[in-house]
Amino acid sequence: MSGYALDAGVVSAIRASGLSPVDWVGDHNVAVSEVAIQEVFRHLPADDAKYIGNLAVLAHLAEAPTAVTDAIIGLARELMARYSRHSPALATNDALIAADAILSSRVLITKNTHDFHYIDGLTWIDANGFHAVDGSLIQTRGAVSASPGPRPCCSRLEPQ
Amino acid sequence: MTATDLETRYGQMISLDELARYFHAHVRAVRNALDAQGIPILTFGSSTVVPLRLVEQGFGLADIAHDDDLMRHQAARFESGYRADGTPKPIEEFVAEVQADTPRWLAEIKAARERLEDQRRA
Repeated sequence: MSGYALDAGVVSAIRASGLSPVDWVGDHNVAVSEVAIQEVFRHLPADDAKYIGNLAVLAHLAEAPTAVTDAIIGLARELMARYSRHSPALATNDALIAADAILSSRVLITKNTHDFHYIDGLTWIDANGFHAVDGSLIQTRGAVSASPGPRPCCSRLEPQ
Repeated sequence: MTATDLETRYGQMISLDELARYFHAHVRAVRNALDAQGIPILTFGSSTVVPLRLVEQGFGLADIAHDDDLMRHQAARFESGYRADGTPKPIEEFVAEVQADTPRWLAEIKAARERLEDQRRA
């Protein structure tokens, strides 16, 4: 793995913490995809304190948001086909965010593990309930990957 | 004590029938779920009500209702993933819209980054 990728909800959580993403995550190598960016900003007026706060979080990232490349689209399409029998269905934006993390070998930090936990090849950290009181996220949380077989939280069906 | 007194003291009440409609469930199923959560069910004449605040807390709805970031992200996800008629957008259409929307946000992030660097240098 070479760094971390932020899901949209995590950008909001970092903003709410008042910390920089580097301090919150505990690593300098943090990125966010353009797909997550649109979730972060859509429906927020530009003069809203949250809009300005989200901008401040993203300004701290060393790299510009990652663009959606043909390779990401290709893998996202493959994931959506592979999990077409999965319930709940793999949404397009989640497929693109997962594909981006897989292809860039980043650990996805998300509060929506429900949307990602069954995707083979993806490694993620569950950010739910993390408040950065006792250290950074990666000091206190381990990264996990999908394991084969059914899960109690969804009706996972084996890939076709 | 009247129902109004009760609301004044314990907050808004919601009828069991309304709650069942909200959850698309049978009244009996909702009553069983409330019992399992230890939420008091109160009867006034022909009305059966429960304290809304306890329902929100008991079913974990309070956190969702107060997390407007989550609600906004969900709305953005739905809008970007589905057309107005409810059919899912093909991935090419989804990506085209992302690529049309993001330049202005990227420009703002770049400007914010430049301001941050200016502050660091000052």
